[in-house]
Amino acid sequence: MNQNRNLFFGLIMVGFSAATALLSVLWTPYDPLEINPDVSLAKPSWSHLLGTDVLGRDVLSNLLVGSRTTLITAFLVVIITMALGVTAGISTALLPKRVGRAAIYAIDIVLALPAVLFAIVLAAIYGPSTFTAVIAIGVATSAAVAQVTRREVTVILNSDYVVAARACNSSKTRIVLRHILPNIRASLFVQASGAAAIAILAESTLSYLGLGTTPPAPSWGRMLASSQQYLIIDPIVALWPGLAIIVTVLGFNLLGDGLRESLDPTLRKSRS
Amino acid sequence: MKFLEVNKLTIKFGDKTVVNNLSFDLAAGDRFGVIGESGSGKTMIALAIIGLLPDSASFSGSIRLDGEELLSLGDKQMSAFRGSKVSMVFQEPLTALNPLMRVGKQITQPLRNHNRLSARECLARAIELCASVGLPDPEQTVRAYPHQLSGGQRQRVGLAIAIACNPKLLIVDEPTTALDVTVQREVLQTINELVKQHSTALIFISHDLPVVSTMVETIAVMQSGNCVEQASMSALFDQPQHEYSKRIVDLARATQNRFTTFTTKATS
Amino acid sequence: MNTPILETHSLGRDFKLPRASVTAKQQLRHAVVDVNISINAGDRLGIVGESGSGKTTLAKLLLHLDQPTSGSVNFMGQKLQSADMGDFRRQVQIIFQDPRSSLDPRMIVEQIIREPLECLNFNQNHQARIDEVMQQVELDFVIQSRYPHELSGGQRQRVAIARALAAKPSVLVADEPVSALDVLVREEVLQLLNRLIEQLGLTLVLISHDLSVIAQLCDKVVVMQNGRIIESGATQSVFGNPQHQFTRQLIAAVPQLPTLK
Repeated sequence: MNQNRNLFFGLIMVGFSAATALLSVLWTPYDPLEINPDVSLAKPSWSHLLGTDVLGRDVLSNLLVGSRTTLITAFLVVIITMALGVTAGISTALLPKRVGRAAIYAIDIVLALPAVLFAIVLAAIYGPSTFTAVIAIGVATSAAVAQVTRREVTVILNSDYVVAARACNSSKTRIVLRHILPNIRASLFVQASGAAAIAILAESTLSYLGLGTTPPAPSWGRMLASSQQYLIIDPIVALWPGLAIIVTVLGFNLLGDGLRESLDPTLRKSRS
Repeated sequence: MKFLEVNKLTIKFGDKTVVNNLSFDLAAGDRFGVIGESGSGKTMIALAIIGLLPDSASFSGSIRLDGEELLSLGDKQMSAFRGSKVSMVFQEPLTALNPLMRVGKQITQPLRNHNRLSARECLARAIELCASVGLPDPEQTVRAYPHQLSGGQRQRVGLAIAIACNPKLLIVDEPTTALDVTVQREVLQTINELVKQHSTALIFISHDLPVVSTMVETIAVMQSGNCVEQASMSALFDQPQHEYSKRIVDLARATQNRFTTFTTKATS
Repeated sequence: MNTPILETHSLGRDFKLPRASVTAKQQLRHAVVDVNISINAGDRLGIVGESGSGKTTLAKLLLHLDQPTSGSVNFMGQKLQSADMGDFRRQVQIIFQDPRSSLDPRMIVEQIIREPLECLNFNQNHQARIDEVMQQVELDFVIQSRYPHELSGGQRQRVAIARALAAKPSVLVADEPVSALDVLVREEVLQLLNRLIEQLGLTLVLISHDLSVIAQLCDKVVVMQNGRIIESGATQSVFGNPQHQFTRQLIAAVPQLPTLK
């Protein structure tokens, strides 16, 4: 761990966000939804550590509760993305040629469509919410995971040790469970942390656009959006949600890099 | 003063010693073989001479080429040597060439770096070099990409790149290990002819004793970083001194015998 | 035994080459063409050829790891079908060339050797059999709990041999089993293979480009060039008195030690 700086800092940063999310469940300085026009756009002070927004809501409290939304979104998106992506990746690699090719084209189509488009469609049908944002981002990002996974699985399928397994009559299921999954594990961890980073940015974007978390529920993306109008008067209000997003996304990226470093070199170490 | 003097060369990676206290000399035009198994340090010797040791390596001792101390030279100074005075042919013809660059351009890169020839002169020289390394249809070959050539042809391209500026010392590291045996024979013949023609000194590194024995006059036997024996080829075969040398010579002989019993039985 | 244990009839395998353009005709690469081999129980057959000669493709066809485009492979007189491979797989096993890639880097040795026992429903105690076969390949028991990257090349290849022999096959197909090994280790592994084949009465199909390896282990040999068999017979007569031009070239190309002239 001492040598793996990426892992170290990644864990600290993500851990910090997680800690604030947990803290927000127990206590926040103020009720984030409490409107107090008297202290609109107040500068940071001892009573409001990070100042207030245009409606007098405490920025710090909103940030803390917003971290909950952010992290839950990241978590749910990662689950959807990885579940869909890995399953699609492995099955298209195992399918016979023609069917496989059709499936790959389908994945390419999904890949070409941005998450925003999915979000708009879902929002139009069900109304915008954190939930629709999560589904939209999850499905959109899963296509990339499917592609990467498929390529890796194909390489593994052609390796001698899988051929050896086929030579002793191993079933396809067994090959997937015993040979493929363990060998793509490291890559999956990295992709998952990448997906988390993407999810946070995407959720922020969608909330910013009004396609995600609906007001008044706090969300970093929406905080950023609503502070835009007042940038000239009070730029600091935009600073805090922006910083929060940066730190958390960077944290997940570092975590992913760190995990890859710690999971792979052990395999590279060879005696002879 | 000899052309190449390696004196007490020691190379370490952290605590691990990969080459231990190696010394040998080469006169201009000499042919020297280094034989050892994987991990014996033989490739490291080549990398040290040509100045391509990884950053994590620490080394001591001296390598003097034409009077100049190579180990104390910085990378910039070393690059003046590389290609012009010393050059190297690597083991894997597939990975040693740039897959995105036409072969002719890769051959003329050392020429542009060292001799500053014009584009036309470079092309002419590239075609000339392709012919001298035995590549068929040189005018077409210079326009080819590496993946369009066979393994033997790629290795010949590697040779052409190495001899482009007429180096005084050519190092070849397992040049034929990845090639079929018939191709190997031809490539070795080509190396032989080139080296004779230009009186280039040759360091031939391999794990295959019969292959090395056809190419060099003197040989150093490496085991786990130590040079356990240094002798002329005939002395090594007649009277191997070290235990390890004895084993590999005996093994080479036994393998050969097994094979020739078939060929002699037919004629008897 | 009268029926050859493994036999091929006009075996052929073509591969489709990438099309030059959408309208261009589909080109084929003929990897194996009209191959007829007959292997009897106890035979030691060598398949010699250079890279691209089709020998590895032939090995995969013999093991039914690839489907022929023409002709057939017969095992014990029966044509090989994809259904019901259990018995065939148990009887015919393979050793690959590169011990680094033929062992799953995420499995320990004990799991690697256990796999064929489980997949082929070996009916004796698995752990006992693993111990037994480790002894046969002369590996310490402690090796069982190591990962492939912790072993030397020679040790890895021994593990590959142990895996192949675990379910007690009768035919062993070895694809360049020692090419990736250093010279001294090569000799040890070859001698081990020799001993095991004798002791266990195995039938051997050895694929190699190295004539001296073939000479050491095989009594019969076929020479392949461009997918076809150009010469075959007893090792002694093919190497001693080669008929085909290419065979002569191969033999002449083997580097000779100077002092033996």
